Amino acid sequence: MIEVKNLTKNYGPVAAVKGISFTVEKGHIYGFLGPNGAGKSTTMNMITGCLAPTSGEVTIGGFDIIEDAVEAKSYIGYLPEIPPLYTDMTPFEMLEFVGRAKKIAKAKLYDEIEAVMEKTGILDVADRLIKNLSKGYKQRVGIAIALMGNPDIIILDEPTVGLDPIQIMEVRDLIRELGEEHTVILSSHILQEISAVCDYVIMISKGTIVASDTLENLLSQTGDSKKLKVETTGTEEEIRGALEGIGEIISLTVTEGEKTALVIETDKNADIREKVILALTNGGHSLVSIVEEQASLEDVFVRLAGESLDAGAAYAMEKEAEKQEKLEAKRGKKVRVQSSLGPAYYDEEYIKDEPEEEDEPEEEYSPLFSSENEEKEGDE
Amino acid sequence: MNAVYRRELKANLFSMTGTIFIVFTLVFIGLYCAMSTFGNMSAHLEYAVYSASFMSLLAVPVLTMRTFSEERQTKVDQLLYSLPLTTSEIVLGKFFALATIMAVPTAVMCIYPLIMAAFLSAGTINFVLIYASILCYYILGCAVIAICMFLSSLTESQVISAVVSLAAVLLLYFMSSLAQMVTSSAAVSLVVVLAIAVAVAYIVWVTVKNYVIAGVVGGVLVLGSVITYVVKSTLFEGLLGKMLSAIAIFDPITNFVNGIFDISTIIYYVSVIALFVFFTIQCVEKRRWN
Repeated sequence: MIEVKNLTKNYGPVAAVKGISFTVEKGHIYGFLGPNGAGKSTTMNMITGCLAPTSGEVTIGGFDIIEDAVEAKSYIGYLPEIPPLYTDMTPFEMLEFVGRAKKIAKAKLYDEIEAVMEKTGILDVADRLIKNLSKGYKQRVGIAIALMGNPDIIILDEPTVGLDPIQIMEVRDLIRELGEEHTVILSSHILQEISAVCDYVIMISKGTIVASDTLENLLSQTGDSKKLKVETTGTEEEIRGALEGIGEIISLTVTEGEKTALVIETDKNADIREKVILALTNGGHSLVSIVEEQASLEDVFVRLAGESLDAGAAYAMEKEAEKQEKLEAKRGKKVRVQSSLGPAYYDEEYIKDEPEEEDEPEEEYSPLFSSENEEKEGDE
Repeated sequence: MNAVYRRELKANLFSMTGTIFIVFTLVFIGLYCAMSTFGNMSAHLEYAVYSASFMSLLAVPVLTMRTFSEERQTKVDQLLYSLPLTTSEIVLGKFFALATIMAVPTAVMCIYPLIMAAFLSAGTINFVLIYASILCYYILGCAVIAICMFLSSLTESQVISAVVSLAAVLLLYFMSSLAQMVTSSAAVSLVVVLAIAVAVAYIVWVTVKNYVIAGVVGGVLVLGSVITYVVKSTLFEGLLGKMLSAIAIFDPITNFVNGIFDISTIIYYVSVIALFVFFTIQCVEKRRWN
């Protein structure tokens, strides 16, 4: 359905997307996963024709998105990061406009609007101005727009950002439902979301694809060890003594605090929970909790992206050094000029001349996977 | 195009900007018509049309300021880009919607001669002359709309769009007075032509980022001008004035007011419309490539 070949996008000196290629087949829900600033939105925008690539090509249903834009775009419904809504219209008028733009026959138009509004649950607010709607409803109207004309492919860019937990669940259910009839591409920086909804995952980091496989295949790649997290009482020494006898333990980290936290690394196939409980209680330590950490996409991502992170970091350091050098050179020049004029002062404006490369992705990295409702900080 | 046209028309008619434009235009047309009829005791409404043309078109920036700026700011332009619409359809849809808004006060103006005819006690009304002037006024209005629409496509800010458009309209209005003031010496004209050549070369460089092409374009223009100046410097005499009066868009309407149905004026305005609609399409298209 969609074929992406060597897609590259440069914003001035910053490469947001670096030659990525992938294919999207019919009838799956694809998850496009990466941290903020990884190039997700940029890629989405290029696939949908909102942004022209620096190089590379995108074909949809065999049509090039730049050369045969109108045909190619008729296959897709797109919900960008910020729902593109005319706030002075009602959802009904908005959908009417989109329907006309998608050249839906007049006889079918109003039935279709009704069906789409029912599916997305916006019938109640059909005649209220969009500017008066809540964020959740706006998001639904955005999804409704993408659904108009029953396109084969629906592309949703961060569809749950800024919604409350109940709305997030609703939107996810809706996406699953859509996946039954359409090919859905969903971008997100939230791992839980991708693992909850998608059956195929494309991981992107710093503008390159680090993994592209089915969810099961990716989850089976989590390495050879697993972790056991335990909360207990006692000092490090006592605990190390108590657990000494368990042979399956590969490594043990102990953090003393109000409660003592243990992270026990064991072989992937070993289950030593009972042994640990016994050993600890026999040693006179009370057990507060014991959790076996499940293999998650997060591990896969950290492992895979971690590899490419190093390459990216080296590049970033090089750039930073270059920038510093230039800045130094400018400062030096400035001081010379100032000294001939009298009292020197530090001229901020002069130094700011150098264009800021503020969208460098490497600054917005890993902690973003921790929270579901985290607001997007950067924009790629 | 139809979808964009209908959406824009509705948005303009039911929003403050469209209403302000229509009301402002009608107030000034009405005032000028009243002053010319009652103040001068004259049935020559065409003079009122001429006088009103500049004042009423001062409101065009208010009408056009949101055309592209607003969508860029609210990111609705992404929707337009992802819909199966061509850029030309989007731009033309918007332009025709604005032209339709412009038609509202013009249509009201068309009633004035009829009202006057009903109450005229002596003399005659030259309907052909008046309606031809109104037609010219309308096309002039559309040309100003096209220029201001282009300026709106350059920026994300409606305020900047409005201010720059207003400045442009004022500048175009003062251009004819300016044209008479400037010196007619050939050397000065040459300097201006050379400056334009350099500016063109710079624009080429900004657009294609290629020193060779920009250098060749600039070189050819500069050399050509200098050679022409050396061979036949009389060509440059008064050239600056001519250039300025050529862009004095509010001037040619006087032909119509004076009773000449001047096709070249119509062609001139239509060319301005076509040129700026084209520029707008390019500008909107370019945004995808940035």
